[in-house]
Amino acid sequence: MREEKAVQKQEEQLVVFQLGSETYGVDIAIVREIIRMQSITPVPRTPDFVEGVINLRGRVIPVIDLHKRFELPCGDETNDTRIIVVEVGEITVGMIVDSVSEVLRIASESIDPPPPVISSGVNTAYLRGVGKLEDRLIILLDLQKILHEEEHKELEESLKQVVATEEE
Amino acid sequence: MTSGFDISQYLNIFLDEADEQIQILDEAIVNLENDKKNSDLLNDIFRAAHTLKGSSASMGFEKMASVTHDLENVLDKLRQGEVEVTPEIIDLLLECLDIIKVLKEEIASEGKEGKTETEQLISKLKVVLDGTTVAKNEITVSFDAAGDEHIQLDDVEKGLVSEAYRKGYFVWHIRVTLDSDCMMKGPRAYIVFNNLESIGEIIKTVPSAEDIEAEKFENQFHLVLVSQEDKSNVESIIDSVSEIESIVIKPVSLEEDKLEETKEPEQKEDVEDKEATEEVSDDNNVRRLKTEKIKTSQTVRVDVQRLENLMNLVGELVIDRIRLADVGENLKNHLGTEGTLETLEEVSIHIGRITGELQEEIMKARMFPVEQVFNRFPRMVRDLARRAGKEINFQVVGRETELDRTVIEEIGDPLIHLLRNAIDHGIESPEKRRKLGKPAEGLVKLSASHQENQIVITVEDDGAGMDPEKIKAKAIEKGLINRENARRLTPKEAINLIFKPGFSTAKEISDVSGRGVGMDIVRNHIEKINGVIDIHSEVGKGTKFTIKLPLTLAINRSLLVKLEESVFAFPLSNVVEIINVEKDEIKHIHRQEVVMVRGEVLPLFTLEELLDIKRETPKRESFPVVVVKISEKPVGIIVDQLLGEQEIVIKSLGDYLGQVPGLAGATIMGDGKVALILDIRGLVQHARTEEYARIAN
Repeated sequence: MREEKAVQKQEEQLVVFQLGSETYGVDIAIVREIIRMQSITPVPRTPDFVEGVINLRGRVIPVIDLHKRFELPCGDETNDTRIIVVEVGEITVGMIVDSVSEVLRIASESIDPPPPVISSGVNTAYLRGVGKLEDRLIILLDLQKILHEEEHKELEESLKQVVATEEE
Repeated sequence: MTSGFDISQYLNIFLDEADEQIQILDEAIVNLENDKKNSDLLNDIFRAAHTLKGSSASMGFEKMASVTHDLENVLDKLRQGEVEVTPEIIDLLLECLDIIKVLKEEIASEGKEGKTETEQLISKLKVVLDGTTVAKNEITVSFDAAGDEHIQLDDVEKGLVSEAYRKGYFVWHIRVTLDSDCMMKGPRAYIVFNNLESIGEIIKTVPSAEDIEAEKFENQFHLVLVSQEDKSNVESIIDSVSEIESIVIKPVSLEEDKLEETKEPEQKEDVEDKEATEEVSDDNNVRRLKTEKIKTSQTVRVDVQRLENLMNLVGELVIDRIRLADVGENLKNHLGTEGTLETLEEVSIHIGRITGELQEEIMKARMFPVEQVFNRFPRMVRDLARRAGKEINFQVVGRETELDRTVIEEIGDPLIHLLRNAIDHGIESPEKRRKLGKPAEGLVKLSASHQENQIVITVEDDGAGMDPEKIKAKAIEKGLINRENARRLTPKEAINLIFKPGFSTAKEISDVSGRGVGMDIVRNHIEKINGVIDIHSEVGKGTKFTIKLPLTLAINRSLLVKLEESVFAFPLSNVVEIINVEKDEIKHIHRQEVVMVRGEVLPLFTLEELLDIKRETPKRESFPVVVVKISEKPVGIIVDQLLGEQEIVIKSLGDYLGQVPGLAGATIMGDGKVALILDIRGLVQHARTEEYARIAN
């Protein structure tokens, strides 16, 4: 047991994807699948970054655009555009990314805590750290935070606003 | 590890069984109160208590075992007629039941019995037990329904029996039970008699032969047969008759008769009783076990999530089937007709039909009889009536009506509220009713039935009814409406005021109802499950609430409309009509667009403004308007295009988005795309606030 843990600690497996000019990674354990871009049904009265919902084999799943989420310039949809479906706790969400490049292992010791500022402008509160692999930098997202805390607040805020305007 | 698993396995079985028996007790005890002489009910209660005793004892739940043990003993005295069934006894029985329920809950939540106090109850039971003098050891012996079904032979018959034995014949005591749904009991019994008479002589029947022929028996009869045939032959001869549920055959023993000759008549009977009872009951138990076994193999408990998953999988099949058909079509265009392509087409049509059937079957699997909710009401009504000092005849009709599980879960609370209202406010006190020339006992009737594609549940009483004028006065007093508007209301509209938040007609707050949170919550609940509630009330005659519900929450008949590229679904239960409006028909009241429909003003809104979708509303000469209504005045919603009606499967938008105002969920359409289902209630509320704002400005 202890040995296993040690191995896990030493290495992490990541799904690596491209968002604008930066390379990001998420823990492979929460990735359910990676699908091609498909037609998305927009849902009114939701935050801007919620693109809408898709049909994932009979389940209706919300899709968010990570560009909008992180206030990055929006890239055009290409043949490489993918939706990464992640499952965090009870929540299943699709995330639109520019491309998915690979799955790789990275040694835990080469993951640094997030620096105070990152050039791309992603709020460092959403980051778990920065992985260094040879000459590349991989930004590790903390989806727990992105989906649960912050975004939930934002969603609730926007819903409250709608309700408030209704009550007026 | 394994033993822990095993215990929890048994625990679940125990709890399921306990639930079942508690349900039986609940119902039977309340019925017993109205029908104190009914020995069948007593037997039901006794059996349920006995089963509970047995299973709790074997699980080591001592408190429950001791309560049920004493309860069983008391019940036995009731059965023997040694103690009379009085309201006090009924209360005591109900008290036992309540304690059993509490104990069960403790076991369910903690896996063991908690600190619940049972001593007091047991001592109460002991008082009843000690009030009579029969020895205890005889009590637990007979526990079967057959206890009162032994056969008593008179002297002539006894003579026949002993003579038969002397001649080396068999004498059989036969109990035949016909199928409960047997339509022709008389003829069936006649055939049994006829068959038996070909192999021997029937010397006695219970009930009498005449009564059996006249069908004056439940579905069971006894007979005593003198024959040379052995047991298995007799059995096979009876068994050849159809619609027979069970046969019990026992020898009538000669020793018993001898005993009887030497003892006092009274005691004789007692012995015979017990012997016969024991014999029959043993056999009967075996039979019952058998049928129970069959039953359990016929039904399976399935996690609803499984059904949901199955449903999703079928949904995928439907979509793939459409794609398959498309591919076939394309190939045909490229290659022309070819044998294999035709086969492909056939296959895809067949798959389509099967998936359709599959979907329907899974849907049906989610349906439950409404009984599940209704069964807990008789007890509740009884308690409420006793507390309120009213006499209530509670009738339940249509328990077997099937509803989707999700609807069943939601309907309980509103019904409780309506029943409470009926008892508390509807039915008058017995004295008052007598003065009014009504029967002292008030009628409260709960019924459920299928009507077309809906379930209709009604709660009615023959009580005081509602006075529209009183309701108006009350609403004015509460500031819910002004005098001017109140005057203009029709009686029906006035009665509907009780659905306004903050309205309560009870002059004093009772422990039952009338906390001012009543009817608006009932209506909210019902509308939440796409239902509609309607009141019909006549002063002095009573009130009837009619609730119409969709068969299921999972599938909904909807009107599909298009707004640009998006498809939206209007649940059909909320759609009044569809009209086409010409541009120059539109009038304005301040900033509010309206149109006159049959002399009524209909406010108009575009779907995009109600959903806050930003776009340029196209300029058109005429457009379709969906008229929707939620228990008040209708509202017209302008859409781009009507697509038609369709059955849709309702899915949630997921935990991440949660409840989006104006939307009730989403559905997946035939082409695999997602359409959004509108929450008409939310939209209409939104529209109304908009409307007020516009007109006010």
